[in-house]
Amino acid sequence: MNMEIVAKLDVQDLSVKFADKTVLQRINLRIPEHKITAFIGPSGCGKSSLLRSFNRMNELLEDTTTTGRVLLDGKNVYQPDVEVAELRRRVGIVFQKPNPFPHSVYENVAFGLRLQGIKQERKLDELVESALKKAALWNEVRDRLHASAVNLSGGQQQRLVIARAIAIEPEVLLLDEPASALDPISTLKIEELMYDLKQHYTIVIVTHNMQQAARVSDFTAFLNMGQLIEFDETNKMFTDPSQRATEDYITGRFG
Amino acid sequence: MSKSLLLQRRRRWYNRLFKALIGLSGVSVLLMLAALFIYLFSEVVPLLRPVTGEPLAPLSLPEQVVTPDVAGNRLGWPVTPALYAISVSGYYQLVASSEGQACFYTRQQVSGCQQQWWLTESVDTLTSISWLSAEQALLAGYKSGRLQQWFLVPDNSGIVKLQLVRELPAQSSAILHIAPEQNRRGFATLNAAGQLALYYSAAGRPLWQRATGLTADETDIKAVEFSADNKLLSVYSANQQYRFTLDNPHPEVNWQTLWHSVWYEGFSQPDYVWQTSSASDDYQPKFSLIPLTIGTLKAAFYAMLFAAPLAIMAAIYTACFLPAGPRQRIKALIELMAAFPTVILGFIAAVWLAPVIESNLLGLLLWVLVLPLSVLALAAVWPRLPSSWQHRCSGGSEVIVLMVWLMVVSGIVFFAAQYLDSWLFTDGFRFYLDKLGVYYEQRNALVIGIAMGFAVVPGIFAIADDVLHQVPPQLTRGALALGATPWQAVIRISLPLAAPGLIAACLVGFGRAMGETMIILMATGNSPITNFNLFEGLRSLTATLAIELPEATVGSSHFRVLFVAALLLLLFTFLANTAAEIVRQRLRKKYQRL
Amino acid sequence: MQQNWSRKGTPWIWLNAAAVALSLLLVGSLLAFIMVQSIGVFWPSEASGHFGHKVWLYLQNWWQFLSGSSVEGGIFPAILGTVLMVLLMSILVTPLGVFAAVYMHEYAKDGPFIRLIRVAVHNLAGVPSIVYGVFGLGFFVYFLGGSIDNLFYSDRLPTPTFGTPGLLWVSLTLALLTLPVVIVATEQGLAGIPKSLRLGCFALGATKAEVMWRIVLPQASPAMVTALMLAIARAAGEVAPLVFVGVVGSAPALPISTEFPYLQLQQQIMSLGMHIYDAGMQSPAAQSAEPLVFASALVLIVLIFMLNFAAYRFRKRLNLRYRNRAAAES
Repeated sequence: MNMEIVAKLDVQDLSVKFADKTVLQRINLRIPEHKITAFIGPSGCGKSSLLRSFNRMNELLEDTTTTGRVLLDGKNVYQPDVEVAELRRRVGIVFQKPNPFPHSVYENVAFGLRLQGIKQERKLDELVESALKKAALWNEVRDRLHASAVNLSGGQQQRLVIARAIAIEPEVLLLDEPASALDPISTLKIEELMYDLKQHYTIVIVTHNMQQAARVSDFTAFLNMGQLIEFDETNKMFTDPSQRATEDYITGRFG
Repeated sequence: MSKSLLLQRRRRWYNRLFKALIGLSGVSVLLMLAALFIYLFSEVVPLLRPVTGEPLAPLSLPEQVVTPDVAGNRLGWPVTPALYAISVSGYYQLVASSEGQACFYTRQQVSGCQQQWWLTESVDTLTSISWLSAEQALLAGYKSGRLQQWFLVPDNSGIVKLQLVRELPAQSSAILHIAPEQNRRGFATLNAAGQLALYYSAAGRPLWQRATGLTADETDIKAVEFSADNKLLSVYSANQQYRFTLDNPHPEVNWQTLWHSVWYEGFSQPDYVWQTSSASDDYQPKFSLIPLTIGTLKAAFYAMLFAAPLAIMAAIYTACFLPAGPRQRIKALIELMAAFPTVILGFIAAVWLAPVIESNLLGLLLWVLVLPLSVLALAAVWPRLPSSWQHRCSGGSEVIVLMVWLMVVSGIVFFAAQYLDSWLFTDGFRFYLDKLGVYYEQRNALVIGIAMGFAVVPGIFAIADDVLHQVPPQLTRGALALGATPWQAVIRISLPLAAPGLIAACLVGFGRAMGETMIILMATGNSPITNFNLFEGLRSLTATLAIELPEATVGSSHFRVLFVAALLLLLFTFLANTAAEIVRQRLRKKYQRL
Repeated sequence: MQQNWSRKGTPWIWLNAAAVALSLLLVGSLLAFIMVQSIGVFWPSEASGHFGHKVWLYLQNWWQFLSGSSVEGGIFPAILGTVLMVLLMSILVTPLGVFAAVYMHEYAKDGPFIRLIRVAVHNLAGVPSIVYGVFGLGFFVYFLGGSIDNLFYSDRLPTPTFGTPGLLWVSLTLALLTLPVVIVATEQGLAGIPKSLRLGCFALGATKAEVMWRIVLPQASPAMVTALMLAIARAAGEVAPLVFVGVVGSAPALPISTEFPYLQLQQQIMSLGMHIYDAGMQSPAAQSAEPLVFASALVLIVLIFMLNFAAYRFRKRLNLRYRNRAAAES
């Protein structure tokens, strides 16, 4: 594995417990900047928890304890003086199910911008437009910016949520199975989108879909039973995995 | 945008401020709830506090206190009197020999006795007698330590006679002095062993006892006396005044007077009495909560008798047999019942319903019997009607047909009852009841039952409809798939499953009925009676509070007893609601498992 | 035939339907009864004049009844009192109840303590209103009011200023009485908001306050309106507990004035409910006042229905604005 790359996120000895159940055990991982990293593994292996621990989303679920460190540009995000809200502004997340706010398309995208204190209408218009364009949604919604977002299709909703997330210009974008609830065409659009986005953002994606991981990611991490089994460049991982378990999983022998 | 992991200061402070605000209101609500309980209890606690008394330093008296003359002389009474007692106003007087032979007379009698008898049957020596304040009761103490209480009770010819009411628990030695409290029915005794004891007329056991250390032989102590505010008890010897401060603010309230039948002055037997004010100043307050509690339960019981079947049957129909649309509409209409302020219901019950029921008693009776029968008759006729009619009236519109039908039947019943009334009974049914000896009050429990039933129907209905509707549909569907009719699915599956929920609904309704004030206040006579008679009135805890609390003196026994009543209401409704809540939660879990 | 009946349960179903019909009939006839009793009260009795003139007189009589002072036999002070006490109550109870619900549902850690509090609050919604009145008299009037008098109005003692029943205590008692209702209904609304919305908001870097303020509270607003509606319906018709804390059968003056502070919080007030009780049952001329009392009852019911209807419309509009919640959940 090439260690020259710049690590955007540096995970050190990270363990996560839900109540008394350990879901992640001493994870060590370096997520490279401006690359797409995919987490794969069987259900319940802890890949979503790992993703959510990067911007401390786990804390919003009940009764979790996290030990270890996650360094964002060298700064531990679990330090007590870190403002969680600002951390999440810099490390955005998109969930499996699209969750647009029951506002208009425009307001959904402007939501995060307004939180940041941007008030001028013109600037908002500009930023909303560019976010929607980046998310490849502009052409579809330009005529109904002020219609309710909930009436969009599932794929459009998910791209809207991504637009909403990138509008506030995060440095890292976490995608938690963003396409698993969508039809193949929407999935394809999301994948294309990711490819475009990686120029500007560091992207981490959790996926169930091996082909998807192979298609879009530069690096892949394989997790099982709360442990990191293998982490390497995607090409190598899918052609010549160093671990037996990885090979079994990838070739579909278990999982 | 900044690279640091810090927020703008404005947002950070806004976040903290909001959290503080939310926390503050949360805490203040908790505090208010706590204050509610603590305050109600704090007003009641003084009632439970035991009586305390402390000795003060004795005063030496410059001159001898003149003790009242014992030798009252009674003309025409052959016995040599040893003891003499005169009531505060001097109207009632009594002389007695030391053997216990007594002569009772009034000031108007120049000679002879109104009543001549032996105070004691056994061989004993009478050592002291005294009238209690208000001149209704006499106390007699004996050498053996016995203590008797006698009441003035009028006999059949209206002449008052003294009657033995109770023997108080005997003391260990002779009772030398009895001192009545001022304006209250309490008294203190001093016995030969030098022990002071404080009693209250209606309570058996002494409230407070203390050894004085006075070696009280019979000549040494001259008198025992209360000060005007009853806070100081003085024992006079020849040249000393021994003083005791007493803290006894609420002697008339204790467990026994609140919950047991008590023989009060002027009554011919023990009874449960609530009487807190009277025309004369000189009355004995009577704080039995039994009539009020019974009244509350009685009103709630009759209301439930009317409301529970109606609400639950209605809920069965709406929840199990109606499609979603009509169900919502009918639910909304029935819940409209809850929007009627109870003061309006009470007013209508008092000025219209009560007289109407009185004059249509027979009609009401017939109506209750005929109405279900008429519905059954309609049900029997229905299948024979042209099918186009039937078709048009389905999916909820049967209710409209039934409403028309019920109106017609009710009209006919009441109309017919008027004729029946004058035909069957010479002066009408109402007078017939009088002749039978049934006491009928116009504003009675029947009126309450109907009016308050109306008020609690929506509450019961809402919960009952909920629990029936939430029965997991796969269960009833399964029964239907096995060939059961909808009715069988309801009776075999839904009802048994939801039965605890229906009980919870009734409990909530019962709690609501117990707490209802205005209807009872307006539509009953508010007489504190202790029975479950349908045709008599009642007085509930709530109505008593509404009537009496504004007039009660703050801090008085009356005031505090009213707080006991409020706590009692709180307790009743708390029990009912908590039980209902537990039942509903269990049911919810059960539904989830299924 | 017999067999069939018992199997299908037709008679029982019909009886159950009859219970529904009877309940509806009772509501309907009660409404109709009050209407019939009160609608003709103000019809001019003199035979002269044509129909239009009579209608004019009739409306004039109604207006006089609604706007007249109690000396003129009108109920304006009672209407004003009812509206004022309900308004003040709403102002007091809404923020407190909503924030307390937010505290219990969003901020407080879920544990045995908060569960106990929740049971207590649910239970308090069922506590008889008169108990709140008792508390209001003892705690608000005597304790709080007495303390205020001692601190700020000691020069006027022993004449009490706030240590006596008055409008402020009426609204406070009503607020306390309706607080559990508001909390319970608001909490239900909060529980209905999908967690994904909250997470989505947090994911955009919102602080907790911002999540509450921008997403949770607007989403819960229909529930809050329902809560307030329930509270107002309960408060407007309440009489018994208010007898203790400042609602009287006839108040000497209106609780408003033309000078600052415009509102006399320590003034005793009249209310429609109390007016019905007082004029209908307590006054010596109760018998002759009966038709007027029915008219007051009609006014009270119309007032409550109007408030309910307004809240219903308002809620519908809010629901429309956030109508998509169900869709967002699926």
